[in-house]
Amino acid sequence: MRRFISLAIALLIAGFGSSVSFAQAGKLDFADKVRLLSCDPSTSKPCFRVKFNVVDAQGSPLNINLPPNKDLRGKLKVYLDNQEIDPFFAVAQSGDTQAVRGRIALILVDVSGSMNQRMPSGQTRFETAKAALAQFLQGFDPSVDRVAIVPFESHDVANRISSAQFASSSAEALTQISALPTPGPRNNTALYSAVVQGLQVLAEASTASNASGSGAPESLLVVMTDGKNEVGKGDDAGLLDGPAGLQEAANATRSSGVQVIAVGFGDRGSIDQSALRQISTKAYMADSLEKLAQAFNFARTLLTNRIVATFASPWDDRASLQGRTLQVKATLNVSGKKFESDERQWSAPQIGTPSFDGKCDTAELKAALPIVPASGSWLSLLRPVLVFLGLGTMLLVLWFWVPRLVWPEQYIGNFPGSAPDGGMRWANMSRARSSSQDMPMRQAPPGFGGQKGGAQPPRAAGERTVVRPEADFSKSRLQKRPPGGRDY
Amino acid sequence: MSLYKTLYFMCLVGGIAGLFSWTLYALVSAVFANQSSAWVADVIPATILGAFIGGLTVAFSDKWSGSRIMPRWVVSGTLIGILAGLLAGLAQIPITNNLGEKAPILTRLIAWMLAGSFIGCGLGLRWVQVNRARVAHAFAGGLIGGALGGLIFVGLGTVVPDLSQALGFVSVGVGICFGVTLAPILLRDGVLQFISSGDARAQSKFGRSHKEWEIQQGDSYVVGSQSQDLSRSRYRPEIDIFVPDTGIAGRHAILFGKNGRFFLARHPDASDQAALARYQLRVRGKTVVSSQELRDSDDILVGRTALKFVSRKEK
Repeated sequence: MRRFISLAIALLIAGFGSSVSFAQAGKLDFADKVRLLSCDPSTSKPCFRVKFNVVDAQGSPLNINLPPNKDLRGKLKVYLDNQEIDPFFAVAQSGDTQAVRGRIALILVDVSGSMNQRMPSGQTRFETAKAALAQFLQGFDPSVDRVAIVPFESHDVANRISSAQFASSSAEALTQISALPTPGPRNNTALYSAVVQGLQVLAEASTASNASGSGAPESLLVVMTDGKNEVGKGDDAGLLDGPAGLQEAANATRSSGVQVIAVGFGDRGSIDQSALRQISTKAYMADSLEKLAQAFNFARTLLTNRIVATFASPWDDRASLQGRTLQVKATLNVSGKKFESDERQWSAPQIGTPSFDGKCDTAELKAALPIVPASGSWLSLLRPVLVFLGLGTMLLVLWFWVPRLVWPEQYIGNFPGSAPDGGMRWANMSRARSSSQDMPMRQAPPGFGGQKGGAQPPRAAGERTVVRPEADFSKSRLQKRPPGGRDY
Repeated sequence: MSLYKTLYFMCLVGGIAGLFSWTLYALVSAVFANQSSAWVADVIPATILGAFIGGLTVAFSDKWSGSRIMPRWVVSGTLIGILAGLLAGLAQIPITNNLGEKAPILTRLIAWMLAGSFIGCGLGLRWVQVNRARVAHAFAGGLIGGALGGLIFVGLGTVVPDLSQALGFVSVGVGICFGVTLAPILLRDGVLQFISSGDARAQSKFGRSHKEWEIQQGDSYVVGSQSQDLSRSRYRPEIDIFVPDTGIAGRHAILFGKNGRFFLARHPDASDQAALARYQLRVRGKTVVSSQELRDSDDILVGRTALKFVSRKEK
């Protein structure tokens, strides 16, 4: 009986454990960095925008039934330094293209010499890659999508990538795929430089879109390679290489906040998987046309199926965010399942005040209006003035008043009757001394005595001054009248 | 002005520069609240801080050393401060990228220290001709000031916004000026004291404050009465010990420390026969024709001005 009970308990625990693991099978994955937004005029409070994908444990996109956007907000919780915050705006972009400000994707295709290797299917890697790329264009929406497909190897890397043309139709994109040059046998792989350059291109495109008033689009960089970073003689000068180059590419990915999908294609042994993971936010390996097409399909889904949430910060103004490093995470409760994200850091500048990464769009402003208080406290406006006045007053006191206490002798005149040794300071208070008495006289230093310099005996009251005329006036001297001399 | 009083007021000048920088930065930050690059938010305050500290420090150090305030030196100081602040702002970008997520507090401290040390180093360049070690002293002073400012910013940042940043700026300013001014005082090996002067201008300028000039091994000072208007340099006075005495030549003498000893020599400009007859230079009552080693408590007569050399090592 005891055995039966303990077995039942064990089964219950195992069942509970499996249900927990089932509930946490998926997770929220940050699709962009945490961005600080201005939601003026709806509210003067600084707001944050976060974007997520729902993915499985392997990082592949997970299809779940999300509630309608009007209900999604209630299912999402954001935690800012473990402080729970309800977002005032949430939208799943997969079901609402109106909520998408635009999507730009840059696909970098490796055309190094090794891409000419034949696969078991008889096609070269390059031909297979071209066939799989079409998968990315499925569901292309000309109203929001812009895609550029650019080859890279180790020659003319920066120019090729920076001159990328974003196609606004599926046909244009297919033309770019068919125009990809055949890999040359002497081409190496400037993988790190290509990623850094690609991120720059996306940043410029995003800035241009923002400046035109369309808002920052959803961005994605896909880099497909069959090997590892290799540069040598005859390649472009200044290409990134080695651990330093890898670190620079990894830093560029991390600081950009852009989702970078690396697709390793071909023989796994020849692919530098560790480097691919470092320079990307997500890496997929593929060794056949089907798997490569699936990887591009995943990349496409990660771009289109994003959940966007916007929430107001607990602080009233930007200045209150100075010097803060915040840990942001989120949870989504859907159909009895809880999806939780990892922590993502938002950090204020090291010295300065954080500036806004952008502005809330119209939908966010409308959503904020009834929920978020319109303005912070009056202290937000008055505080800098008070700080200036307070510190200014302190410095004035230190400048004008404190030195009089520390060096009083330099601020009090030496008039007759003043006594540095603590005596009376006022002439009419009976301790005045005669001006000729006790006046401090410095002895001439050794070597400075004699007739021309140093202390001279005091002049008698009856002495008269005579001026001797000389040709050079500057040489005239004041002298005592010689006995029997003439006055001039 | 005595050494410690100069130190006190120079620190206040640094504090004022810090407060003005913070005020200007707060205005700039309010006007340009929307921009995307976080690093710009660090480059701008460091640059403004460098500009104010560079300009004000040059102006006030000249004022208290007895020199005239030359606008072009102030402009040079401001420009060098701007450049130093800009470089400090740029230098912290790779550090932030590599260390920011792992150690955010340390990264902030390093950013403040970089700002302080770079600006201090820029200021120290002013005295590179007098003594190369001054650059290192200014660098170290700025580093300490920056660390202090960073600690205040990190410590108070989340408690009292604005005040923490303003205090950080003020601390960096005080720290840099403290380092630039204190290092020569702490490390000085001797002091040249003003005793009295037969020239009313010199007496009025230095008589009451008992002006002192600190001297350190490796220093090389030019003593003279040349007006700063005639100076052709862009960043610093050509005359280091300026005494407005008509009995002193434009470039009268050179005071320098070498191998643990100090010497007073006639400046080549005042070494010809006519200059020997016209411009007095005596040590212990004896006329100096070429150069003379100085000992503790030596009395010096330059033109009609009496000075005293006090050596710390021989005391």
